[in-house]
Amino acid sequence: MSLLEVRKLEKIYGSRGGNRTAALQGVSFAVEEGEYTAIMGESGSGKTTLLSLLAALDKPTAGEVLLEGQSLSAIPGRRLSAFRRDHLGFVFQDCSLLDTFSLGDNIILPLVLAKQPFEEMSRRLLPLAQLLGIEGLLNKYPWEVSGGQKQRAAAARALITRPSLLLADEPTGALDSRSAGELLDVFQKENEKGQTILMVTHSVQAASRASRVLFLRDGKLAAELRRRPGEDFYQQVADSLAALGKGGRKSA
Amino acid sequence: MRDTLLCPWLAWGNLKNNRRDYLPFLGAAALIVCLFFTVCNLSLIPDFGRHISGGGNLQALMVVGTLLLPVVCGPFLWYINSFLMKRRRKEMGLYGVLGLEQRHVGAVLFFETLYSFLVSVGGGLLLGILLLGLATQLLLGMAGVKTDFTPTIVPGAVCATAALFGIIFLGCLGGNLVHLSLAAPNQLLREDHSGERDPRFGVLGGVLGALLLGGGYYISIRAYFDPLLVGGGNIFLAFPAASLLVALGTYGVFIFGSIYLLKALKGNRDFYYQPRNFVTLSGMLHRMRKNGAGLANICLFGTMTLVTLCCTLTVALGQDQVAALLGTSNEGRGDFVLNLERMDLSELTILFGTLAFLGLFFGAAFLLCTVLVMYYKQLTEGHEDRDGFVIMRRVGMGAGMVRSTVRRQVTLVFLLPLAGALLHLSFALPVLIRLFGVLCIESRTVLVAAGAGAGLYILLYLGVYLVTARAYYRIVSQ
Repeated sequence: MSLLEVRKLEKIYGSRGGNRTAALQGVSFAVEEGEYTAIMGESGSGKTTLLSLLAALDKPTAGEVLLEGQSLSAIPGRRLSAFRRDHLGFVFQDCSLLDTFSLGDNIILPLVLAKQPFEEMSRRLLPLAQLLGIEGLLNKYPWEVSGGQKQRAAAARALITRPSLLLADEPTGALDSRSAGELLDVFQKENEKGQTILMVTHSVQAASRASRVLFLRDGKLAAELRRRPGEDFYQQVADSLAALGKGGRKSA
Repeated sequence: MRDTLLCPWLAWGNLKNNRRDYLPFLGAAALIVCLFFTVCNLSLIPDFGRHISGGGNLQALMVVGTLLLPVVCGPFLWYINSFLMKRRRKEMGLYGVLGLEQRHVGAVLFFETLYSFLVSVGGGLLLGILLLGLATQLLLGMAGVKTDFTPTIVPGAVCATAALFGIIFLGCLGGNLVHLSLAAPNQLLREDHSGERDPRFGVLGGVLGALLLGGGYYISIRAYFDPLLVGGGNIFLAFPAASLLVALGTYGVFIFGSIYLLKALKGNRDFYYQPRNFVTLSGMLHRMRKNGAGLANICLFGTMTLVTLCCTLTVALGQDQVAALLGTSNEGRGDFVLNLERMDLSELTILFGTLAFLGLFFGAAFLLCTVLVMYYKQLTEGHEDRDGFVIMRRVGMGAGMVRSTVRRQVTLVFLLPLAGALLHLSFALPVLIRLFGVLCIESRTVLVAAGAGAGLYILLYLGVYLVTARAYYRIVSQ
């Protein structure tokens, strides 16, 4: 059984009879445990829609998403937030840290919401902060630190619940290239320890760090690339993206 | 010129689009205008004294009311205006970026103020004129005067009302313009994420506040036990002096005391790291000074409402009691005590009736202020907290937990000022008992009135709590 299975996922916006836009059409793929997958595509290709369906933040028009064999649409609404808290970790582009909390409190927020005892929280917090190089900043507030440091704190918040799947939405989108590199190093280290990661991005730098890249165009899966040892994965990803872009223009 | 038409049109659109924020403000302003106009007009009717015996005394008391009301309601309108403007900083910044010059933005704000003025003062005056007959009947009925007197609308009262509120609105406009001219567009556009720093002299401020508060309470208690103070007429000074000290002290204690309390609670890990407390406490600490000042304002408006309510009920309950004492001698109780030997029943009824009538009007005005300050505090904080709740829902806060967090937050905002206001009222009782002693009302009556007034107030407060909690929840769950 795969960790994540996406079956014939379809999402159509707009009302019946009115203007209907298909954001996703017949998307199927599976993610195995320990895999590091990137999903690439231009703006409007359906990346963000796909991610919000995977996170059960939205409901698909057709098809289903199974996480650890459990269908997301079968989970009752009142259980959904607890399910998200226990199984999924999120990193967003805008890092979405709360200004009212120090970085440390921001990181343990999911554990507080899950009503964990304080000892458990602090036991998990310090090693994670050290791993991300923000152990000296835990008492600082988000407006006092840099964008890269904020994003690493957001990554720590996503990882502290030890989620079965880490979902990242353009995690490097708002970062300079050095901070982006540092964050991607963190993802890679976590992945090497067995963390399954699914990242949506349009940065070749970010996608080429994954072990596998799926390309999305006009709401459909258009191509797939897998990293093979000894090959220049960055170049392959860049080439595929360019080929896809040309194809898009030809068909238009 | 195109922009001579554009600005009035933009201003109208702004008010319409922000109507949810502006309507309560305009409605309350209209009611305050209506109350002010009524009292002002009654005090200025020229042939009142000729138609009604004792009408002159009655009008003299009304003049006092006319002068006092704007002292409280002016700052209140200013305070609410600043709430409204803060919500619109981004909009103002956008105007700058879109190429509207500062004088255009100024013109838009001018027209907005003009419309607000016309709506609230026009509406308030219209309501006041329509209800003038009813208010006069109420006053005459309470003062025990039987006559078929029909009140005239005094142009002077209309002008005074329009002028007074015109000045208040102009003051608000001036404040807004100064505020905007000091900030660059990108400064207005950028949201301020930083939290408030710890106050530098927090402990000192807290201690000073507590001392002032204690001083106010002490004056009240001394006024009760010191017959010399009463006999010498200083009792009339004791009440305002104690009020001033208590008002200043309330700010000190609420601002610095609340910061100290919040920090102590944050230090208690088992308490702080509970889902509900975690969000509420950190939010309050993030805006600790504003939060404290807001709580102090609610507490003070609440205290004014409570004291007015208590006084009104005391006068109403005490009237028959004092009437029974008429004609008896009460010499030796001081120079300022009501001379019961020389007073007749109609004089007494006019005095007490007018006092009760004024109390009713003031109570209504203060209550309005209290309610709106609470409503707007919650509204602003709801908008500030909304992004936070969006994030928390994404990291796993369920709808039920959002609700219980909101309840915790709103409950604290309501309970702390209520507790403060009730404490203030109980310490005001000694001096109130002495003050009503001047009117020969027994202390037991004051206590009964205070109990009834507090009960009534708590009921009204509870209603506002429910409405406000719903408004806050609606905003953060959008």
